[in-house]
Amino acid sequence: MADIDERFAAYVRDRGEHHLRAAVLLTGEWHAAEDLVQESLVKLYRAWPKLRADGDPDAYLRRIMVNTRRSWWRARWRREAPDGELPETVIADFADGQALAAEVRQALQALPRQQRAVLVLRYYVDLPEAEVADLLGCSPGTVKTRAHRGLLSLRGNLGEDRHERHGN
Amino acid sequence: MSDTETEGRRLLAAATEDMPSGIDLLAGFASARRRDRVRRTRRGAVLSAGVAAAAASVAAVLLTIGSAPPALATVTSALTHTLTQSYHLTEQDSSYYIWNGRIRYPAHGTCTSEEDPVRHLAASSCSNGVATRDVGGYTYLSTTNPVGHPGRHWDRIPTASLGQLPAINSLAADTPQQMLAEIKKAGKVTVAGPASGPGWTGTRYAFTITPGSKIKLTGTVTVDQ
Repeated sequence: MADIDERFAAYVRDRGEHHLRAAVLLTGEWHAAEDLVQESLVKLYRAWPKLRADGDPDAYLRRIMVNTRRSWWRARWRREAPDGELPETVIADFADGQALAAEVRQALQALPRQQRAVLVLRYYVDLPEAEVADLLGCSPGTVKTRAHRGLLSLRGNLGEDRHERHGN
Repeated sequence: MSDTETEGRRLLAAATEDMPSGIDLLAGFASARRRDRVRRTRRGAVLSAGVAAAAASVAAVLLTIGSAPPALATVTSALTHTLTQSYHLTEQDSSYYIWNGRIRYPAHGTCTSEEDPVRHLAASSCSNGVATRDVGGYTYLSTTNPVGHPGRHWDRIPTASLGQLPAINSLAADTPQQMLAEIKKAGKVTVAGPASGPGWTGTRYAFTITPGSKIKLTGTVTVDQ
């Protein structure tokens, strides 16, 4: 038991931050990302003894996170209808790294949920299209389409926002 | 790789650059796991009738052989009666996800407990090393070898706060009363056959509860005569 705990602790130390960063792209907020990763780690830990030495905990945790995020979204959708508009936020200095991070996440949150998940898994986690398709339960072709449209929408959202802010 | 893809990767990476300091996933995991263990243990310490055993298991599915309203009445009556007296409980459970037709993340465990719901006293221990004690309005939770802390530790948590924790997998049955309500809603309790143990004989009942569209609990309850 102690051996498993230590191996798990080492895994969290090594890979936790990577999954936390992916989670914030899915959720839009750091505290929600932390909650998502914590809940997913608890679920992963239940399966930890069953994971073979050569298993891929990252793949397990990613699947748990995607499923957990999906169940959260389903629980929330009755109360929160997405309106497709960016929340109004004053960002004083676009050059500031923190402002850019927040702005990109806002633009990301304005995308349809599945499109957002495809972008995060494909271009941040860097998974191949087939693996993203397996995780999200859709075809590789759908992943390709959503990735293409998602990137254009993301750029469009950011572009419109910048355009309005700078009055050009 | 196209320019659009390159820009997308750059933007997504930039969107994580404001990670606040002070996030300790390992410490947070330990707390989340403690809450999860208490919740799972307490949910397990629910079903009993005299000498009773409840098992949420794959095998129990096979015991469902038809609808029998008197069985539901017998089980709910026994559960109601149990809530007014002390009792002993042995629980075995298995949980898993089904993804693309395949079983994933299976987990198994056994818990035994003694409960006195009238005096709000309880003691339980589980095969995964978790033990709990309920006394004086507090739940004391002990785990062996928690992450980063060898040996046995006890944490004290106000019992009242446990009922307000969000339920894992949308399961809300964390108290005997809630589990009884779920059993009543199940409406599908069937006689699974005779049962006996040291000094008692009784009947085993099988039940199915569907708390969510994709969640199904199956199990058995044994009621002594």
